[in-house]
Amino acid sequence: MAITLATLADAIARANAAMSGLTDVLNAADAKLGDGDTGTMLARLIGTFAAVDVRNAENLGAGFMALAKAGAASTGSSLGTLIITAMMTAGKATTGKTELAWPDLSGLLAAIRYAAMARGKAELGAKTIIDGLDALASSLAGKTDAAGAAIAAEQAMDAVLAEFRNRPSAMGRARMFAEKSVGLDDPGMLALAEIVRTLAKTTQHGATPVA
Amino acid sequence: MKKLINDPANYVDEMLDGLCLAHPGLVRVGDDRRAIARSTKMRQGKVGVVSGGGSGHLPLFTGYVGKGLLDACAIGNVFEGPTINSCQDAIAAANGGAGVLCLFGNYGGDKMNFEMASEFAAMDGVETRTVLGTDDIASAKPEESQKRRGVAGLIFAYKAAGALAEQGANLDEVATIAQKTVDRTRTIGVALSSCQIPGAAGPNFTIADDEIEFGMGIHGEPGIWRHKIRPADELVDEMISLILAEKPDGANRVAVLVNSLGSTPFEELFILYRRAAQQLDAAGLTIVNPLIGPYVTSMEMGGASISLCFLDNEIEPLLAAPADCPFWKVG
Repeated sequence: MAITLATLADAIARANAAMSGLTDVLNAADAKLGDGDTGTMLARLIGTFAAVDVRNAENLGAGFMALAKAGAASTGSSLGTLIITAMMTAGKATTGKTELAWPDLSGLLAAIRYAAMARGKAELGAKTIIDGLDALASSLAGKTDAAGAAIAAEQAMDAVLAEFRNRPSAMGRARMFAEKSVGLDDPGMLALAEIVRTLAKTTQHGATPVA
Repeated sequence: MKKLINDPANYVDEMLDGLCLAHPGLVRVGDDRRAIARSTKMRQGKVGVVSGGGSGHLPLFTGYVGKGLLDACAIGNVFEGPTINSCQDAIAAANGGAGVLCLFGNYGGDKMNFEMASEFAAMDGVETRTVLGTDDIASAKPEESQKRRGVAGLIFAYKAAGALAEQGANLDEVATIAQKTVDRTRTIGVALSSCQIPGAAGPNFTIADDEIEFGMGIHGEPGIWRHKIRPADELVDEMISLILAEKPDGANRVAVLVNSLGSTPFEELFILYRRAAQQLDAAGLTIVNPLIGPYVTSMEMGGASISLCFLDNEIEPLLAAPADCPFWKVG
């Protein structure tokens, strides 16, 4: 099986359902050094994605672009814009394609990581969502099916959070609190990890599609 | 903190509705109506000047849309950058066929969204330039001045760029004067009390009743030091001293802005200005067109900032040129 519009729509629906429990968790993580609105913003953005009729898009590229377009009207936050950048990158990479093979997902995530670095003027190692994307892309290299990808992705998220937790932030608002950021998860990286964990768990356990 | 609001989710939209009702020279534009433009038609052949940023800072950013200043402005949720769509809408509203200058503060989300909006605008044949406000000297050292945040001093760049655009200058000329004005403007602020985002569970930051934070940013970003509060004159002396340490060579005339961050009253601002004027005079600087009041706020935050724009023969007449927006009239 490959990644199709149905897979994408199902993943968005699962992530959207998970946000009811994640919003406060992510807001609390962000409130330690930031505005405390990461969960709220992400819930709004994923809710916007969920309202898009991705399942009936012309192809994967069109589906991702529809998500990017909807997201562009939803948020102006840095993290939100990086997610929109990810959707645009995926849209360009899958233009005209009706499916993406699981072994190609790693390369797509690597492309998204590069695009996010360029958009956010960020470097690897700065303790941001980009480090999470890098770990995710690496973990999926050589994975040929959903179950294998899910196990690897979940492990990668645990590992990257642990690796960066005790490092100082070097990017964005948190860099101004570099010492205080030691011992804390980056809210963007944590958001990625929580969404990946949600999708990985439901994939491993053969969840029924939410929508 | 108590606020005179309805549903926090409607805070920005209800505020924009009221702003436009009170000032018919402004209109909401775009699909989500999160951009403000002049109600008069954009003059063909004129360079557009747009800005944008999060809500919570009025008069910045939307309040400076008007003749001789901004043509349009994208507005985000409180302390959140404007959406890409809003930025596109602002650029489209300010497009008179001669290009559009995007002039806004140096913040991550704002930069990314204007960058993407500019890419979309280029696809539509609209040429843009970007200049970032970087006047907050507390936010990075002089050798890293490009990393500094944009705060109250940004309004001097609005004024200079807006005036030159009204005079018919081309896009490169307008961008150049905006950058020059930014390069010659320095700001530093002090915070006494916090503010709270509508709907948030608590204040944006905490500070004891008897403390002051020197150099804090307009979203509560950390400053240089936090100590027990000191007399106003001591604070002004330190603020002016730090700004003058970065005085451009040859500058001998300055525009001064003593700005309330929200709840600090005019009386205290004039006490600050009195001392600032003494210090600038002692340093051999002539003050031109002082501005005292709430020009860039952080909702109900207590505190003030001092901005100096070091003038030259090009910037000074542009600051004196006619302008008319809801919060700043010249001539």
